[in-house]
Amino acid sequence: MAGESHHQRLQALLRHPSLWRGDGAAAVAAGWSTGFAALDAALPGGGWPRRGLIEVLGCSAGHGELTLWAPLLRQLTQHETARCCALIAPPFEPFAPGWRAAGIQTDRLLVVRDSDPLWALEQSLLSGVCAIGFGWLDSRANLVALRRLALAAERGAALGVLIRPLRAALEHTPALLRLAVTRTAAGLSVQLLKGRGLAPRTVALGLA
Amino acid sequence: MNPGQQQLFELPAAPPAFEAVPPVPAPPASVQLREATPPHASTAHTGARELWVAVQCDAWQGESGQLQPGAITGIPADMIRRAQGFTPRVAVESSDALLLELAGSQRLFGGLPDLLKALRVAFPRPLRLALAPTPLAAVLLARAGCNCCILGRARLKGRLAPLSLRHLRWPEDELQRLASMGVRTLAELLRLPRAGLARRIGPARLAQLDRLTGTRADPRPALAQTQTFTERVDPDCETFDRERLLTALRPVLDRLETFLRARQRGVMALRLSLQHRRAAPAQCVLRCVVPEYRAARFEALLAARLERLALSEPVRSIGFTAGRLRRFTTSSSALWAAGEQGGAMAAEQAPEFLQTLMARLGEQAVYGITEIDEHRPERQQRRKWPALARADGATRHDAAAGAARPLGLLEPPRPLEMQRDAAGRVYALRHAGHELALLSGPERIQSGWGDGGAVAREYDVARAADGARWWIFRECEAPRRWFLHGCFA
Repeated sequence: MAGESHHQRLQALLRHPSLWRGDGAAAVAAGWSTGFAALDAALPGGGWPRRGLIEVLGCSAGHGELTLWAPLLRQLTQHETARCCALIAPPFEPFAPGWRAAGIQTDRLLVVRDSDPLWALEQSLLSGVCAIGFGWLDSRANLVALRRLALAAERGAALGVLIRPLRAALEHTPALLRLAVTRTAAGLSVQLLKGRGLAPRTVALGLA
Repeated sequence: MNPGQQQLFELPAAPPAFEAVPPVPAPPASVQLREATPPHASTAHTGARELWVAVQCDAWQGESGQLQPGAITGIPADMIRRAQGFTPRVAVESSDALLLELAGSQRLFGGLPDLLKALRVAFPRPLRLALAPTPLAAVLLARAGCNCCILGRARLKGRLAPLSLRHLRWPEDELQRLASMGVRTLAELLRLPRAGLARRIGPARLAQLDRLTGTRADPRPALAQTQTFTERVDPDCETFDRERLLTALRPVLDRLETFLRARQRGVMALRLSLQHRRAAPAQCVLRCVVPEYRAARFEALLAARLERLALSEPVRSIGFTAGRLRRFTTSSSALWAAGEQGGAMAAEQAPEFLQTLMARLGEQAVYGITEIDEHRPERQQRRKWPALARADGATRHDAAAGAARPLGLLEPPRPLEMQRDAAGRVYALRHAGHELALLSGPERIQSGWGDGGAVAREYDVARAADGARWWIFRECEAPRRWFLHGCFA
């Protein structure tokens, strides 16, 4: 009896308008499948969001920060009329045979070289020409610039992926999703750090 | 008033010549859809009623001694440009008069009265205007100062009759000879018997009189429109300020748009030469991905380009040249914004987007990649002009099973830190402080003996201690060093 009244009181408190609950409170639109069942299950929209900014943290290049996106890129670049995929200031030269081996059409790739990737990334996301834009950002970013990126991605109906070093985990972010990726012997380990309606957890992904 | 002679040129509101000349009324688009008549193509005399307007000014003749390079006569290029806004059939008569054939332009400008009003606004006093059915008559009437408008050929002779023979600009001795015969006006000349007149003044002069009165055809070659746009801009003061330079350039860009619109053409390049007091001029070339004509667009691109341009000294003046004129196809903009309501996306905005990027970052900084049949990894691809729309019949590669290839290539290959034992054998490899362990391989790539770029390498996939995957190789020949060549990003 007492337990029931406790439960009712708790429910009444939880319905209070000044209380915001993270789990499932935000209505999340259905996303793109990530190509990994475990990751799809863990992400709020059942996959990557279709528009918005995502931060991927990795301690250096070579940790699978692009491999993670290969299934989505394969899907996005497939159609004749597909929008392109922008690579802004990658720390390497995109290697066409590697992209082809991953099943991604290389004629959809657009590479931009700039010392400061934020402007070019914002333009790419805003233009509506790119479905997805990757930006490599080594230095600190101020919150205003990141917010602009998030806004540009929303307006251009594009997905912006900002690849940053691990120390960026300490900074604030307006991104929809922040995750850290590391390679393991079996594949990738994705640590979901922050996101709307997301429970922080680590997901292990197997790579063929 | 004689109904055939409308006094339309006597409009009260003719602005004085020294005031800023009002812009030419924007010629409606249907005129410009017509191909410009090729240079010196004869405008055939079809027998249809023609309306020739002569724009005449004695002052032009005085300047004929100092012709601009490329100019045919002393007539200012600006006047010719303005005339070409009314009709493609513009001809030059001697060096003091410009001829416009307006029969085809009447409806477009809303009837003859409106057309003549527009003409008067474009060619203010003291320029003289006269309208007649034959070009020579129009010129003669203008020279005589009759601001008149003769539509029918029937009244032409009557109006020409009192004009002095001086306006024909024949040699002085011939005029003297005629004057000694008592012939001073056109009426007196035309009254003479034709056979005798031919003997006295020669058949060429007689043919000229026939053309004057319209009994003989008088085809005129139409002037070709200029196809180049070059201007010099002087900012108010010497300045580093990009905003001021842009402000100085703005009117030029507007004129360029008018110039391009009138020709239904676009340009793909703008050349700016920024002159300094001492230093060599800075060159700034703006290239577009598709032909462009809008001033606002040029301005946005120039703003992006100038922002990144390094200037050694303040700019004194700017030489502005537009590139070759090119055809372009206009397309209507989409109703929906990108991604909205399933609106069309890539094809329309792509050129503008690329232009924006290239204007700011330079053309080299934006590219696509294409694969080449080659064995050496560093030559297996090249950069290409970014094509955002897939070409028809483009080869579609399918995922190929085979040796692992990384997503990123590090060019040139980076030497790896090698740790050797006492015998000189390599026992450990390190990159950025992390020890590398070989996962697969080796895969031998040996090629290029034919073109001097011979390589013989053994590639391996390596795992660093922190988990990163790298593509590394070892030279097959001495000194058998190890290099880092790719990154499994």
